[in-house]
Amino acid sequence: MSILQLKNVSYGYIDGNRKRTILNDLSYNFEKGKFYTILGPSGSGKTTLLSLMGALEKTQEGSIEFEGKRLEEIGYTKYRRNNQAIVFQQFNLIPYLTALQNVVNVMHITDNELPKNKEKTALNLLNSFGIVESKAKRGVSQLSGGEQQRVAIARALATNVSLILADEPTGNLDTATQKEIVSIFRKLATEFECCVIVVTHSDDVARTSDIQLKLVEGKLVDITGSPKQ
Amino acid sequence: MYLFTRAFAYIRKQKAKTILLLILFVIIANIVLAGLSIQNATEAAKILTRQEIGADVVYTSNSAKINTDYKSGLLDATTDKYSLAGVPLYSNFTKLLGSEFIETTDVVTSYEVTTDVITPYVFTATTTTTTTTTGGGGGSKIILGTYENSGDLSFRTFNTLTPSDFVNELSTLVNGRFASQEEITSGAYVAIIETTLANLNGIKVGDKLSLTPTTEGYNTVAIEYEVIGIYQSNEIVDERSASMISSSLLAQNRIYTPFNTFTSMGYSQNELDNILLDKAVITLNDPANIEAYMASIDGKIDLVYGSISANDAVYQELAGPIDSLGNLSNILVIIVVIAGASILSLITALTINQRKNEIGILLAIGESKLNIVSQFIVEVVAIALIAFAISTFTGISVGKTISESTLASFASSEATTETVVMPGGGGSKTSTVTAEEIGPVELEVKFSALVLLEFFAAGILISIISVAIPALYVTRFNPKQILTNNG
Repeated sequence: MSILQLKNVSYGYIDGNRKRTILNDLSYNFEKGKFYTILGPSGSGKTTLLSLMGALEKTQEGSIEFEGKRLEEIGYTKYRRNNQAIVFQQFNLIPYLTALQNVVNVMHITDNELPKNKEKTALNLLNSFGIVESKAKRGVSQLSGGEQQRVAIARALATNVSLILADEPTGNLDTATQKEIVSIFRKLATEFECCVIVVTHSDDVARTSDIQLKLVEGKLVDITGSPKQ
Repeated sequence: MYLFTRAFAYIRKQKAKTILLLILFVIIANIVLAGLSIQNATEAAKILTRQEIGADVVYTSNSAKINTDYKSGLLDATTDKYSLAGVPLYSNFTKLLGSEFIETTDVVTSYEVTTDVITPYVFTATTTTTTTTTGGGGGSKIILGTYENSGDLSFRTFNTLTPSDFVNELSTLVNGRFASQEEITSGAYVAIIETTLANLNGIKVGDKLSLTPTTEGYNTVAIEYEVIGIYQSNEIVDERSASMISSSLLAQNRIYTPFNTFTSMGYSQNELDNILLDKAVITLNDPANIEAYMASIDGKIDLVYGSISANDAVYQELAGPIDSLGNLSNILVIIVVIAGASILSLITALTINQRKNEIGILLAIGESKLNIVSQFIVEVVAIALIAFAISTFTGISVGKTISESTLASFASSEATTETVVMPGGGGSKTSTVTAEEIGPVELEVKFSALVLLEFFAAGILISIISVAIPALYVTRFNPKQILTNNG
């Protein structure tokens, strides 16, 4: 079932005197319950594509639809608040809040229906990602990189969204933590029917996904099952 | 409204920034509050000064102008004093009435009486004394310097419950009473005599005195006056002056009686209108109304040889430093508010620039721009409120210190005025109060609730604007731009 639909999306920027096209008439349907990875060399437009899908910026041409509605129609801020969540490579947690407060914060921002006891729900969620209560109540700067990324994932899930976007979520983590995080994404797709889209450089991460996509000349190419990526 | 949690978490976490901002706010608030408190105090001090000076408006002859014109030949001994423009004729005085600001009036004029039954006090010069007491009466005859002695004693009139001489402490009642309102209105033949004269003649309160007025145009008939009070004169005049004037004009020989005795003696309205007053004292219901009253009577009398004074010179002398201090504090407040707002804007702009990444994250997780800006405002306003609360107490001390030192420096550079009491000079004492009598102006530095409310409101408004502008500037970017530039 389609959750996110890219329709003829183009995006470029002016580099000196010429226009450089990053995304070129790109169309693709992402479905619920699947774990996608997007590969591509540096500068191929992976992060730009993720930003457009996360409504961190607007498309220049074409449109993006979430469950059949254009993002403009939903409203960019509302879409970011209620329909998707992004996990960043740099975690992007609010530095002066505790891990728990970072999670509770998004639960207060979203309009989605959530359990009344937000703090308890957030604590349970953090616990399920291996962040115990004592750590949850610490400032995020006192946590390791892996712990911070788990907090970031917990934050993404706290608002009950069905679309999870991740930009190099394992880029700053060791191999063991990397595997742990990837398994969480898999679980989100299979058990929670989420659509998980991960931008990555890592072939190892890509191999664990349901569908492997590659950005080639501004278009997404399905390379799932291809022998050499 | 999790933005409050975020705001207070930020304040707690960023202790150095919080303390810096708090100190800045306290400094600005103290100076502004000091300025505002001084402004407030100067207004109160001006009102107090006015009240101290009193609410009396005094209408007299302009002796200085008359003397000058007399010396220059414009006036001479043949000049009819009643015809001089603006002199305090009773008819002129009535033009000053009818104002809602008037509480009481006192009409003071003098005339002489002869007597066969009372021995007048006679001044005897001594070789060693430098001062003695003499009368302040004399009336119209003195004005042109052509005194004609026509009696043994002098009457000074009044038409208020406490005659202005007693209000101004030129005389003090030592026995008996003042005239009642009924006696004043009906022009009852009652008299308040000086203690020296009373002692000299064994006169007591309740005695009857047979006196014959020598007023111009009046048929000399003896009238019986009842002594209702005995007073003591407080006037101080040097011996030389005392020896030069007629004994009837000495204060010891002065008797107070109601002005309306003229009516009782059979004066017509026309005759009353032509009585030349020593002075008319118009007491207003509130000193604050003096300016309004003076404006209301402006132009009613052509004051060529008359003078209407509300002790303005004394008031201006005392109010001058207060006004200067008020203006200074006004300038101080404006400068500090502008400088403070600029510094605050700069600090918050720098702080917000450092928090771009946080803004990007909040935008990326769907927080509204309004809530982000509101969080920053809550942070600054919370610190500002604490600073303002501290400053409410410290600002009073700062304001008091500044105002005291400033007023002291102003006061030392100010000139002083003097009041001249002329022996027998009809109404020469136009100013009833001097700057020295009032003393140094005390500023009561305090805040009214309204001033505090205005200050808090203005401070918070400036804080909000200082934060909102840079915050709105940053939030206009999309989250990717912010995160990319700060990643």
